[in-house]
Amino acid sequence: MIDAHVHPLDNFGGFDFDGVAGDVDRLRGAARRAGITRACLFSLHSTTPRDPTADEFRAANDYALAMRDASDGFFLPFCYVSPTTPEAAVAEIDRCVAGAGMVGIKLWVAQRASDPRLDPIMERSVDLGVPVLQHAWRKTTGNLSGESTPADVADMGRRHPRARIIMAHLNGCNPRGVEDVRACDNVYVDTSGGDPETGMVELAVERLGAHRVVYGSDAPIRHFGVTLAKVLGARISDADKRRILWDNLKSLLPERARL
Amino acid sequence: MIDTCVWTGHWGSFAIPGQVHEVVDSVTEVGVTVLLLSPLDGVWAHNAHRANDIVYAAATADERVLAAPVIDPTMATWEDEIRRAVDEGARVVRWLPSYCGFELAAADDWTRVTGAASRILWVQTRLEDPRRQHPRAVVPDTVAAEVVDLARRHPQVTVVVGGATWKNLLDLAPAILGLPNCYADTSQVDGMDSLLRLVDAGLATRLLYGSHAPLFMPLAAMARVIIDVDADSAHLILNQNASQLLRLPQ
Repeated sequence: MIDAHVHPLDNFGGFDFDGVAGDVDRLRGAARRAGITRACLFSLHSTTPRDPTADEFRAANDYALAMRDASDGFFLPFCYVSPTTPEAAVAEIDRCVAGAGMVGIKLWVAQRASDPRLDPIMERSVDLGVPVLQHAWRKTTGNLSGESTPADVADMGRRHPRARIIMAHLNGCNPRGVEDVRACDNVYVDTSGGDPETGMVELAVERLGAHRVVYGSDAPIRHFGVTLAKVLGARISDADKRRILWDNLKSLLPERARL
Repeated sequence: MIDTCVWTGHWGSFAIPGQVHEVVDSVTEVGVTVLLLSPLDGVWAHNAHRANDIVYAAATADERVLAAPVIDPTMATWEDEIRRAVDEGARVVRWLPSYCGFELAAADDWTRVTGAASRILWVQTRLEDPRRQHPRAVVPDTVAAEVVDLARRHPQVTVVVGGATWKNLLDLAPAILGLPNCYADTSQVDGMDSLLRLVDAGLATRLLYGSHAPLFMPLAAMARVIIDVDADSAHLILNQNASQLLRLPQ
């Protein structure tokens, strides 16, 4: 099973661990206990700034690359950038994806997905043949100023129809968010974010099709096994579970992920 | 295995399989043999107590079901409902302070009455993450530390902190361990190694397995126990602690 959405312990959780090797051991150990065999990894920097500087996202990506190299390829790193500095972001994508073999691009809460400063990043993702995983939530309590809603992600999908976009946090996007992206065939959704509410994966499969849903945990914020149970316990076919847990993400990631 | 946090009924903002038979099937499917069932339809009702009929009927019809009525102590007739809980053999009563609109700091007299009736007082701190609630029906969490304070003020009453997050419980672990009458459930304990960390903090004898079904998926609740913790701790959490509290045969 491939997890589309994991962060280093260095970013979240208040865990005790010893450097990159300790981070790999504890995070990978917890993932393997739940049955995860590979995991897409995004470092958001040890201080998790909402709008990182170029130096900060470079340091974050160096950490993710080190975790990949220390994990025998268990972790598949995505390149984290901020659209606030588009030129630096594209240069970092070239360094990490074209140069160092990262397999995707991660966007968090620096700017909303409807912001045109994302456009060069999206165009580069198409050039390099990698997916973009965009954080999204639809918070009753109010989003952060740069935090995308599913409607922002739909706008991004329409602006860049050749890009392959994974909208993070199905449960956080809620049933209205699923409708927001329904017409965007190039937008997928990961199952992370929020509690294991009954019926959400079934809803995503019904409204988007099983081919547009991928498993994600958001560990260590969430538990690998609890989030896996959202899929394994869903009232959907075994074939659809397999698509969500492996096939869909395999088809989104470049060959060098060796899945 | 005993699931101490199960609900039946409807929920306004999303569809759930909440009929009694659906809920019982869903939790027994993951190995549960006894469940504490409460009515969701009482949560938003002007009179929560009218919704308790369904869980008493379910308990009468199915020996696996134990009724856990919702009690609103702001109702004029709430002591009648406590007496009914005693008559019906309901060992646990649940409070929903944020939904009923009262503060635990002002609940001492009600707590004494509940304790005098020898009922276990379950205080539900959360039913739904405030970030995910319907925007026109927002209910804040009850502060978990205030539930522990209530337990401290009433050592003769068994108090359960229901629906607290793992971080809250980890912070409260020393206080809970200092109160023999205080327990917590696992229904909203999420995060990597979260239950493991609570067990490492010494809470294995104070944790009660809860799924929060049908709002949450029972398999998810079971996964956080069986994947991470050792067999002895799992036995305490899944069975023994609740079995002793509810005075069930071992």
